[in-house]
Formats: sequence, structure tokens, C-alpha cells
Amino acid sequence: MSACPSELELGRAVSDGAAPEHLAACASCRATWDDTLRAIELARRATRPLPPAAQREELRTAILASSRGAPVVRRRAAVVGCVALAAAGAALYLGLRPRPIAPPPARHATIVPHAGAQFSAASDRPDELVYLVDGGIDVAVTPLEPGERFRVVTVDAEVEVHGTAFEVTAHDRRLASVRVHHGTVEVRALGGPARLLHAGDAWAPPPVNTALAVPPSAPPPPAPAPAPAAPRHIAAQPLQPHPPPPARSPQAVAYDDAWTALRANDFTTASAAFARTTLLDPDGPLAEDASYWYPVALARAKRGEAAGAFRDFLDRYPRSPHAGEASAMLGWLLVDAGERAEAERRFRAGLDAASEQVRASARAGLAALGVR
Amino acid sequence: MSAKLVPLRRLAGETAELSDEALLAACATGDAAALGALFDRFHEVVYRFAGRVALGDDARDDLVQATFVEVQRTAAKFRGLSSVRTWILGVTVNLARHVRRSDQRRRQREARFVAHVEAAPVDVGAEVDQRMLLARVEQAIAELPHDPQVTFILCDLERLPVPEVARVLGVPEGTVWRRLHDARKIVRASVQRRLR
Repeated sequence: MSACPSELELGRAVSDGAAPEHLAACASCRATWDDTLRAIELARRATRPLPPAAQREELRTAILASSRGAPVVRRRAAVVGCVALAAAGAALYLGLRPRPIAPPPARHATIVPHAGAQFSAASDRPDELVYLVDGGIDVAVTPLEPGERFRVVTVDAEVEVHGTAFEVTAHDRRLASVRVHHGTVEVRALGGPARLLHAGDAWAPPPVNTALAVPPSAPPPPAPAPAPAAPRHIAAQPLQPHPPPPARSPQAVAYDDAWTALRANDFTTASAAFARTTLLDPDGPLAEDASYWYPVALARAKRGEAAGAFRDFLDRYPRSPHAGEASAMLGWLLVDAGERAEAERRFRAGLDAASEQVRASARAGLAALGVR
Repeated sequence: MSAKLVPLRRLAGETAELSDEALLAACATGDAAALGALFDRFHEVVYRFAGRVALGDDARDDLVQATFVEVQRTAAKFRGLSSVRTWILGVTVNLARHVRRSDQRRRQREARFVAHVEAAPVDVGAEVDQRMLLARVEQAIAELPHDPQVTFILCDLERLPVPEVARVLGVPEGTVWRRLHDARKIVRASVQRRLR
């Protein structure tokens, strides 16, 4: 047994895939390793459940509020602030901040900002990221090594290059243009296909087509077939016609884009466009409708944020004609998440819906919970 | 409160399309929606870590909150030498030591509670026995010294690669392996004692 590695060596060897022969031949080492694996497996299962979604949402809000300089509202938040400050201060004092592992690597890119440009070089090689907020920058990138990347990022697009020189501009954090001087650039904009640009090529976001303006008297058609499938457990309902925007404002364009995507069953694009609609004009005539269809699209895309977005909608528009449907749909999402108490409350709210289909869905939800 | 919440959430529809690295870059510029999206993606793993270092419920929330506040404050320092997930866990590890001290008294109460549960008769069924075994393992992890503890959690429970853990902790890989070995021995022994 003198040929047996130490336990430490055995662990490393197994991790490197270098010990199977020894483990097969040595019953003692195999038993030790099996016990170790069993202990690790038990340890993985010994986890405390997450706090309820509402508590996590409260924490999320406190974090975001503090990030904007607003008062932090969460209970004990002041303690956290003190702890974080004390931790940072103590770490600085004691020299315990994360130690630099290696000298900062060089960058591939040379960036020349245009006047007034706002940007941030967020990371170095091997994955160089430049976050462009506003204005233009000229970028020259030396050839990348295998596995290295260089990207310019805005909130709605990424521009990835492989050794080139180009000019990129953004307005209000959104990608406004790309012009390639030499080399190749790939532009991936939200909601559109990736485009490969070569030397001399330029990219701009698609213009708003005012020629396609919908007359105010002509509402968008009610959902034609194929209408998006309703969330599970809820009978499909015809999509209601929506009041047309008074003009082709940016939010109206976003709203129409959302419906185009929803009818094409592209729920991710639809949810982003509905979100954009409410963001552009939070108090406008389209906001309530877009706020309702946003979580619907998220739910159909099977996105985890759907429940939170339904809650937001119901908090903000408790008297909306869509409130009953939203409550029932939220109830089913909560059933899936195992949050039975809130699910019951949401289903009960759904019993007041004008639509019999929605009321039936809410009754079915209560029945599924074993509640009369 | 909800008036503030709504616009912050609605930005998430766009940020959801971005990579982790892009979100962190946006976060470095003060983009609240990007921070929200990072929270959505990574809060579960941070909660899990906080639970495993045996923090009480309030201290667990505190650590999660402090982590994401610190993530925004230091996002510009991300160098791409590890995944964003590992980097965020590194932030959590650095803060955990301090949050944990303030939670020490609560942990001692919990330890007494676990000891009390351990003393209960075990003839009430296999499920209870299994739960007590899990509680014993949880306690063993909680009682590990800080360095082996976080190494064990990151490597064996969160399955992060040893080289990344070494970078996050700022120690050589050999040190990570040694700490991992120490932790494994203790946790394994706790299971074996329980099964005897």
C-alpha cells in the first residue's frame, strides 16, 4: 500500500482524471474516495431554502434604490451599509483587499474618443469590454490571440471585432452607428439579426418608417391567428384590440414592434419591446396596456421575471380591466413556484374578473390548491 | 416604493439580452437596470453561499445586499480573469468574514439548537434520520475554519474550477487543494460519525 498517494494527492489526481486505475485497483483508496464523494453529495443537499420571493424582491429594491442614491428602505439596511463600509475600510486598512494576481494585462485596443464621448473601458485582455454611453469613439484593435475577444457594448447592442479599426457612436446608451475602416466587425443589435461589416461598410439602426403610420381611427387588428398560446391552465382568449397611438412616437413604434413580435411568437423580443414602451413614456396612454402584455410575453417565454412583472402591474394598475387575468396568470406561476399562500390570494382576486374564462381559471387554480 | 420599483424593473427587459460581462460593464457606469439584472441572475448562488457559511436569516440578507452594493462599487475592477459568477462569489467571500463576525452570537444559538436536535431519539423513521444527517453535515461545514470552509463551498459545492478559486482568493492553487483536503476530511468524518 506504500504506492498509495496521499489523500490530498488522490483528490487532485481524481480531479485531473489521472487516478481511475489506482482507484480500481486499491480498495482502501476507493473506499476513502467513495466516502468523500458521499460527504460532498450530502453537503450539496444540505442547503437552506431561499427566502420567499417577496422578501427577495424587497431586498432587490433596496439594493437598486441605494444604487441610485435614494434612501435604502429595507429593514436593517443601515446596518448593512455600516457593515459594508466597515468591511471595505477594514480591508483597506489591513491590506486584505483582493490581491492582484498578475500585472494588469495590456489592451489590444487604442481608443480615441470624439469630443464629449462618454465611455468606460471596463475590462482588459482576454475579454476587453468598452461600455459606450454616448458620443463616438474611434477604435483600433490589434489582432487578437485565440480565445481573446474585444467588444463595444451599449444597452441594446454589442459590436465584436477581430483586429480592425472602426468608429462607433451611441446616443443615450443606444448604438447609433458603426463605420468600419478596415478589418471585420460583427454588430449584434437587440431584436435584429447579427450583421457582419467589412472595410468601408457602415451600420445604423433601422429608421422609424413614418410612411406606415396607422391612422388614429384604425386600431391595430385584434390578434389574428396564430395568436400566442395562453399560459398554461388558462384558456386562450382572443387578444383584444388596443387603442392606437396618436402618432408614431418612439413608444408607439416600440408598442407596434412588440405586437409584431408577439404575433410571431417571438416572446423575448416582444417582452423587451413592451418594456421599452413603458420605459419611454411611463405615464402615457400605452403604458398600462404594455405593462400588462410585458409579463404575459415573459411568461410565454418561460422567463422567471414574469411573476415579479405581474406583481408590478397589479401594484400599479389595481383597477385595470386586465387585473383579473393578470391575477389568475400570476396565481398559476406561483403554484409552479410552490408559493401557495400568495397563489391563493391571487386566484381569489381573479374570481372578480369580468371574463368567465378567467374566473373559471381562477376557480381551477383554487381547486388545484385544495381550497374551496 | 412601488413607483420607484416599476421603472427599475422594466429596464430588465432589455438588459436580459446582454452577457454577464456586458451587464457588469454597464453596472460600472451606474446603470441600475444592469445591477438589477445581475441580482436576478446571481442572487440565488449568493444566498446559497451565505446559507452555507451558516449565517442567520437576517445576516444572510445582509450579506446578499452588501455583496451587490459592493459589486456595483467595484464593477470597474473586473478584469475578465474569471467568470462573472466566480468574481461575484469572490466579493461575497471577502464580505462574509465581516458579516459573519456580527452574526456570531446567533450562530452559537443555532449550534446549540442543532446539538439539541442531535440528542433526540433516532427511532422516528428514516426520513428524520436523513434530515439529522444533513443537519450534521451542515453543522460540520458551519464549524469549519473560514478558509477551508469557503474553499470547500466554492470548489465542491458550487463546483468552481480550482484555478478560478485560487485567483479569487488570491492564493496559489496548491493552497486551495490543501484547504479543500482539510475541509473534505472534516466533513467526511462528520458523516462517518453519524453513520456509526
